Amino acid sequence: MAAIAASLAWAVVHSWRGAVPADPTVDALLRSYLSVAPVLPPDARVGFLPVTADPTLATTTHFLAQYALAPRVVDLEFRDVALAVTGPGAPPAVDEDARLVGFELILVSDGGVRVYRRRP
Amino acid sequence: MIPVLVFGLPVMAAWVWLRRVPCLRSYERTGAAVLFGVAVPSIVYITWRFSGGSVDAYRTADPVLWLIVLTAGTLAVPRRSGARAAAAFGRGTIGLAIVAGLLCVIYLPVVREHLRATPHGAWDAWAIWNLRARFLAGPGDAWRAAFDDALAWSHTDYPLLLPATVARAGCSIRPRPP
Repeated sequence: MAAIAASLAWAVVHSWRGAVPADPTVDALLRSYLSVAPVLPPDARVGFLPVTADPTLATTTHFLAQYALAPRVVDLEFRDVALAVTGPGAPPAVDEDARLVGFELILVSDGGVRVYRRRP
Repeated sequence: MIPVLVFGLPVMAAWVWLRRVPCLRSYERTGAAVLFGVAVPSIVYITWRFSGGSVDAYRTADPVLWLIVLTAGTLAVPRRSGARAAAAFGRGTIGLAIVAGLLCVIYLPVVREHLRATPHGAWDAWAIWNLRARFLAGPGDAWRAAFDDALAWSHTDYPLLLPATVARAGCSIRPRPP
């Protein structure tokens, strides 16, 4: 009973003080991906190229790309994809990545998400 | 108004139909009505989508369906007598209800603060549950892609009750452009 009361008091005090920190990373990433959504058909399979060496951040950017772009399928393995996107802040050098052979750049968003389309 | 229709109508319909279960006390019936009022519409929504029904048609069909179920229950299920209902709702239950109500009021700012800080939820929300909901609320056959092999990391075998509830609310209250 005391533990419940203590956890309740902790939660209330922290929420009244606005102690729950907002996560600007998630919002910024989602905004970046949503800005390229209009050029991707809703039923498209989209390859995904993470552009960070940090494995945790790479996973986060991939999962958030999938969340923002659903119902499109975002595929790290590039299986049967005609379109591809990078993580935000991708440098132009990423155009030379082996997975993007046969693709052409069609858009670079304000957040640095690069969008590619397979050449016909 | 629309959220009231989306969640209120099925709960009210369940509450009316649960009068048929004589052993339930009032507070048990209320709890069961909330449970059924959330779960059954989710099952209906999933069945609708899996059988090829569109989101746009569901948006209209949903309130109509639950209004019919509610009306049918009101007409078909006899009311309990007031004395019996009062007897079922004893003094201890009223005390419990007051405590539960107070806790809800105290926790409201906690919920509000979390909604402000993390409008998309935490990791599991956008990696699993709300992600699946976005597929289930998508246009046409988009829901099929929710089970694509490329999404195995998002536990595509997890049950659909929660995502279907979110998808149903999303497509009825605030449709999202694809």
